Amino acid sequence: MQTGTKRTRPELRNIWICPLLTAGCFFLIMAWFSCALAATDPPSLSTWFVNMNRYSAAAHGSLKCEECHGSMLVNGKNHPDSKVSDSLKIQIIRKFDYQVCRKCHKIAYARYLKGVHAKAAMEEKITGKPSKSGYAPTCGNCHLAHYSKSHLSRIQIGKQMTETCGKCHPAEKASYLANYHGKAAVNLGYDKSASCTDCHGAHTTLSLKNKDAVLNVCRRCHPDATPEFANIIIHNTKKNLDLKNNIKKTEFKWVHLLGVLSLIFVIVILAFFYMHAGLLMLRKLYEKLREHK
Amino acid sequence: METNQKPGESYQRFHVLHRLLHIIVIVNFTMLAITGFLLYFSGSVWASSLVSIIGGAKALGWLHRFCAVFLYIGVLVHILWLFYYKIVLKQNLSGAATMMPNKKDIKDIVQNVKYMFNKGNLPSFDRFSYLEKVDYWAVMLGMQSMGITGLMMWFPEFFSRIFPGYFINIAVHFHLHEAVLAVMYIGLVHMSDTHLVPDVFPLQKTIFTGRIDKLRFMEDHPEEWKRQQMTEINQP
Amino acid sequence: MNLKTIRSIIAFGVLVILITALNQTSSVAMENSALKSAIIMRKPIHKPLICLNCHRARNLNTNEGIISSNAFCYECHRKADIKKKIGTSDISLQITPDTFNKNQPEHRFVACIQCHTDVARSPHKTETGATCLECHPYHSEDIANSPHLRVSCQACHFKSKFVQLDPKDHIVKLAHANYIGVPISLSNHAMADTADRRTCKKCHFKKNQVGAPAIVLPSKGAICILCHNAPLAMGSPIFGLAGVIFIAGLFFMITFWFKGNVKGEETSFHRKMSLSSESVWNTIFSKQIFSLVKIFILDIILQRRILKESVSRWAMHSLIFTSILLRCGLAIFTAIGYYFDPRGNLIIALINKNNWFTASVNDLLGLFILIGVVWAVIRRFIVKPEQVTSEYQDTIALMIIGILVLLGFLLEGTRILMTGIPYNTAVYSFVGYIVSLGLFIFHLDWTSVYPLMWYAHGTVAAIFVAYLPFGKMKHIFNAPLTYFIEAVDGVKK
Repeated sequence: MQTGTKRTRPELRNIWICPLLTAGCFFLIMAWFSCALAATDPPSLSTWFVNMNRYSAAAHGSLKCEECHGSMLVNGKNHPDSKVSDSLKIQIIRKFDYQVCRKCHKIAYARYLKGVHAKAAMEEKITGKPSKSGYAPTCGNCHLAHYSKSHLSRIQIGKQMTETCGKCHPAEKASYLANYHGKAAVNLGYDKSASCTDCHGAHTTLSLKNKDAVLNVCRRCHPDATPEFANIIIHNTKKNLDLKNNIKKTEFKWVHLLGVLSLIFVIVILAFFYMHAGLLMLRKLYEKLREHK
Repeated sequence: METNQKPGESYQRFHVLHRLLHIIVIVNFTMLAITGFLLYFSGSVWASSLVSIIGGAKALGWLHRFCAVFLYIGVLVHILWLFYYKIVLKQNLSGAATMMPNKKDIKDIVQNVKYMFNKGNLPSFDRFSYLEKVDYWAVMLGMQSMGITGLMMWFPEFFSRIFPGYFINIAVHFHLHEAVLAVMYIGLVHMSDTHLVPDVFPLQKTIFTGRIDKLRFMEDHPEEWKRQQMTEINQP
Repeated sequence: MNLKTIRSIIAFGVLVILITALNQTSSVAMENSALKSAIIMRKPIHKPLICLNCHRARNLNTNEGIISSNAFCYECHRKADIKKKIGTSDISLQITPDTFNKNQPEHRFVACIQCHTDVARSPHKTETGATCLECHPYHSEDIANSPHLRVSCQACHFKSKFVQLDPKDHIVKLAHANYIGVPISLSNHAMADTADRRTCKKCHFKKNQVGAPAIVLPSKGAICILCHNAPLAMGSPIFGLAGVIFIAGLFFMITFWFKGNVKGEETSFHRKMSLSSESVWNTIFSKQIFSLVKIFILDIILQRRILKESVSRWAMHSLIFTSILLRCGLAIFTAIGYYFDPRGNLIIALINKNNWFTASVNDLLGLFILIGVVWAVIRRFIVKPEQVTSEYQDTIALMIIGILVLLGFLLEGTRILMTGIPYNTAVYSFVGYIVSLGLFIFHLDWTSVYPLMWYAHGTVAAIFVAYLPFGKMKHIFNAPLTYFIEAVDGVKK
């Protein structure tokens, strides 16, 4: 700038920076706090060592080991028996005899037998092959017998379930978390939103392909739901979907297509106007700088 | 609309009602954007902490819907005012000094593009330049589609009686995409075109005080300025 | 080996076999009703397990927990022969899962003990009955609020049409016997359709014994918020009409104000609106707003200007004005508070007309208004000071307020008599209680008188609100506005 040019007061011109900086600092501090305070659960892999602190704080903490595991003497041989050839290779979660759970959890066991998981387990026994989603789960796949706590709140159960069910059903987990129910229940801790078992049942796992079953399930929280309401897609994913149903196929197609079209529309508009604003700004700046307006 | 001449440097451009409605739009739009994106990004840690400060998921949802209703009431008041303008004040709703697009806007766009590439002068805008018209219509039309898709998500039982169920899923997509469009447009394009242009940087107060400087009037809306001078000459 | 040894060996062998046989773990055969074996005690395997089969508290946050918890109750209650003897009658206590899910589908994921909170114990009986308030807040004022605080949820929402007033706690409850005294079973959990007005006839009929008005009265209208906790609803069409007339009156008042000269503009109403709204905007967004706030507090709320002229006039006017202001403030606080916390003890106390605070404060303020009106009447019509001119509009204004408050107290007395509130509760509504003592002399059917009084009070209230922008009551708008304009324009008195 030449000397003698009139300058507007710079201090007041840029005063808007102060609130902006303050807001920025506030958000940074918030983010730091949240990360620091976010507690994580210790990983739960199958292990020969049982953490007795966690065990006694858990639901089964008052039970003695042999009440579920039987005595140390099996077939006349002491445990561990090195003579058993594959004793170090078997996946114990799949080999454990879950009939012992039945001793106390009779109703849950009976309801499990009515569900899809039990059916898949039966088929697996016959064919010897796992299904599309993997090996069929039995008690030990979803429940940690040693460490599962009892009397958790709806929100805690919902979060845990999303992880547990999500291990074998990752596409459904992702689509659930992209849906309003997942965001509200898991991310925001809203206990009135639905988690996996509210719709699919906990032990009577339903696959919800039958429309009437779907409507019945929706009506648990949406009592005014009509049959068409049950057509709202919750798991917006094509994986694991038996697309024999052509109607469902076209629905998915339309949702996907219109979503992509609107996204393209948004990008085109934004690109155009950003270019417009950018070029105009440059031109005006050029005018101002060159002509000292 | 007529502007009242005040002796001195500024002229009235915006009525009290317009300024009030614009403030309502600012506040509610910001709240809607914040609450909406807090839900969309609720997976991230900063979002869930902010939500628990506001009062949890229920309060978040309530605030979003309240601001939406409030904003839409503003739109309705504006539409009522348009009726008043046409019927009681007997003014025109389409014409040179209105928000309706016309042929001049096309010419202005072409000339403005030439100006950007240093091949011509600034177009001679009337009361509302084509960009300001885009700002207005983006909000007017955007409010309708955001409103309808929002209502579809708010009352899925009702709307699934009229539409097939998967329309709600389409509504979710549209609502999100348009929210992104609105925020990105207002935040960058609207802010820069109105406040950050070098002539008026950092803030143009016209939308808040209702008055426009004589210089800005002459440079930004020359057609209207000319018309205003003519009416002054004819009515001394 | 001699015989003795052989006998001992055989005896020992038999003993071993016996002991082994006795120690065999009998497989506890589980079929559908899983808890049967817990009751038919075979040899228990592990004592803790059997007890906890039934007696562990289930996690009622899960589907499994609820179904498992209910199985405990249904074990006995699903049986057809489960009953209780009252006098010579056998009352069925049967409820099966299918019947319950059919009659209360919205509660199919609610456990028995979540409503019947105090019954899973010995002795197996309930003090509180089923508590709906564990999950459901009280109704809002526009549906069934303060009059129904003395009615239990089940009395309206259950299908049984027999109700009674419990003399112990003065709450209207479901009767366990019909009107000729024969005990009835209430265990089928059938719900009434409360949207159908015919269910209201359970209590709302002439000469009923539960203290309900003979007809179903509408809720208060939004205009009643000036004195009473009121909903954002029309209530009776009378209130709606009054509201419309009030707004029309405001409209006429404002157009009258704009008939004159506004900042030099004589003719165009639109331009006058423009100019005045510009001034308002510029005043609000300026430093003057602080002096306006000061004037609002000192001159309008505290009536400083009248106090400067005469303490007795200030007292007379404040008795009326400040009492109405306080009542209105309390009403607005209650309405907003209900919205945020419908179950809070404070809000319920404020809504409950029989609560000691609400009753005594409302009666005291009402009495103040009445005293103020009487004082004004005496001053204006009996003492007749020289400078006071009385026009018919003054008489109308005073009469409306006076009659309104009088009818209010009469209505309160009638309510106390109709609902049969005991002395130690009613005494807090001290004015209403005295009125009720006076009315008691007349042996009338209060269930029929109350609706008449309600409509009388409501109509006069509607007239009061509708008349506000007309007549002398206009001063509630004119006076504050004049003070503000004087302050802004710098006009010194």
